[in-house]
Amino acid sequence: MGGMSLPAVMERMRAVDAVRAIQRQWVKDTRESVAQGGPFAICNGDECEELFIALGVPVLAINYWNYLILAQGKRERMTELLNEAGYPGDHFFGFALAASLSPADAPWGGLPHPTLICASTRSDMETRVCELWAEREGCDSLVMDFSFPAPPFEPLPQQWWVRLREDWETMLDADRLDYRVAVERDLIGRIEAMTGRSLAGGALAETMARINTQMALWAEAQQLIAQAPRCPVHIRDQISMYQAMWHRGTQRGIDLIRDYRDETAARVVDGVGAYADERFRLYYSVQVPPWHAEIEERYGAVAVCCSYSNVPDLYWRKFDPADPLRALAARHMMLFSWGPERIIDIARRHRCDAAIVVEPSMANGPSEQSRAVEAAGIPYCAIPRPTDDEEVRGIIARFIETRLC
Amino acid sequence: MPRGPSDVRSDLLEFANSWVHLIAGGRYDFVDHFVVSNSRKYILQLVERLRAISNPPSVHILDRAVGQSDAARDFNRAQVLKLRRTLESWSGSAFDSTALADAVRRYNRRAAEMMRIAGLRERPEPRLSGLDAIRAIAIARWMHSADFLEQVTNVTESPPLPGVPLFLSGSGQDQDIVYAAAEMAGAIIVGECHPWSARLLEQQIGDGDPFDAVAEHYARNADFVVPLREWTDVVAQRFKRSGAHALLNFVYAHDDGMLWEGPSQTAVCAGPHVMLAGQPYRVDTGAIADAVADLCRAWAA
Repeated sequence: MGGMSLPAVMERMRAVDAVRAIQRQWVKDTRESVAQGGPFAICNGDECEELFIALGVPVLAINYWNYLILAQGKRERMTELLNEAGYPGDHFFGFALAASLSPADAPWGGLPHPTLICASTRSDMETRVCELWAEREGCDSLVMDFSFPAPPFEPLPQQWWVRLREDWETMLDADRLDYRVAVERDLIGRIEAMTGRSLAGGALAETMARINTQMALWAEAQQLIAQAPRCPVHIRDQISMYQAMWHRGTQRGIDLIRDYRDETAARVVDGVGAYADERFRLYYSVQVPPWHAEIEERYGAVAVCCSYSNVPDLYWRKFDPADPLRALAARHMMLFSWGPERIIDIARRHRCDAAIVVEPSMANGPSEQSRAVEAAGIPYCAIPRPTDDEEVRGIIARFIETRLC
Repeated sequence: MPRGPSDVRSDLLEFANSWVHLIAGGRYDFVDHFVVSNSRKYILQLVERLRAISNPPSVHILDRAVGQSDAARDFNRAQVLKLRRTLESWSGSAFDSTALADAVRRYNRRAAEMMRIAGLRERPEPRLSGLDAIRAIAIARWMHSADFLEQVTNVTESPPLPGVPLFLSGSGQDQDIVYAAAEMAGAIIVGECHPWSARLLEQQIGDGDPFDAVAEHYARNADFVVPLREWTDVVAQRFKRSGAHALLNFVYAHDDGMLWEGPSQTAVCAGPHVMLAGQPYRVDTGAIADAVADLCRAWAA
């Protein structure tokens, strides 16, 4: 991930400014709370945040902090810190650990000392980074088996994203889910001991219900974006709103997304377009295209959606109020999958003229995914990495000039 | 497209590519069934890639939880039972407990031989090169235990071998070239703790019902050990046992999990150390020679 060139002029949405302000204040408030003896937890995104939220423990998702470090242009410094500590290479997931090595370089004055770090098993590297961080902080760590993605061993059904809402149990390996529930019960016990509070009494079911409400509102906003004659929300703002995810299942989270939905709806009514020149509508496979300003100015090619802007809808789950943990644990294992069917679905809903997809192994020739998307009538442009450089720009320019113009 | 986060992609790991190409290219077209072990996260992505080739072998995933709780051990024990059912369905016949008990006995004899071989390498006078040791370990891993036990008696001590006694950690060495290169450069590898070492092969299976014993053995012996401090203790013990005086941490490109264990290991293994990270699978023997030269100089100083 490289530096991003933001568009020259476009007012941020009020909803985006609100969530950004809340995030900064949240870190400050959490630091004060910890200073007064309050607990604070760290985990990976979509690992187990809801359990902390339901019990009133401030929790930070590691990748959120990593993305903030990137956005503040601190990637080189964090890499330098990691290399000096004996961890060579460039490792996005390690940035938060690096920031803990040098709080002066961390965003917003750094994080307070955590009480617990939940170690993701998404990869061996993430497990070790979390363990190292906990060792450094002198706090406990708990390894969370079968972190997302822990998809089923059998292939997913067609249109899995529709069936996932209610049929989630059929899309997981039962013994893995049983075990993951046990792991999360163990974590609940630790949080209860940490706080003196209890999840008995429905707090988790209430959190899950609020998540569904929040995500339904978010899906409405994305539907408005998809159906509007002109894209009303810049891809940068669509992704910036993702920060509301860190208030998932809270009333604050609902309010943030309701405001976003309302502001989006007002833009649609007023005919506001986020892009001055919207000639070609694009799907992008990551987040904010770092070369966006270039292709917008040159070709009127604009990103109207990406994989992440369509993720919130996937959080909605039907659950048993008497046993909400099972649905939650299942979602922690399988939030979404990838694949050409999903790209086709998103691109069609947003009336995209093409899909631009990061494929690190594109040198091996057209992928099965590219063939499938092209067969669905959507021109597909593979780029080797999510950075802004001459090679990537060249590939995209040639694609636009030969396939779209 | 492989499932999983972009930082763990099996199409970047050359051993995974090698497997897929061998099967897709027909060279391993005699393989009907494939058991994939969830011993490392990226290995599971091999399943997706195998499924994508035409006429793939049937696949069974031997799953694993990395946690250390009773629930994790119960989960892991249950995976052996699942594997048993799959193997019985593939073979069309039920397991013979007597035959399994015999296999367990051979396994334990092999484990004893692994310890004997380890003993030949230990200081103060290693009498078996690291290259010979890793080859013996490799054939222990892949040869039928009955055949291996006939062969292993040929692994006997040689006269004392010179060289800076070196311990190798990092990425799994499924080829012997790193050992050959290091020992040609003046080291003698007296021990290791990478995923293709003998660490797990040295562990005996317990007594009792053979299925239960195998399941318990699987549950208690993990390739990827958590927490990190426990793994670091294992490495420190093996380093000390080997009598090594220097540590080489050799990590292949994209095998990032290993990178994050290095500094913890160097903190507990006395002596000079070098990390070679981002290494190509087609090994750069020059880099190894340079690293060993550095270690030799540091050791002599």
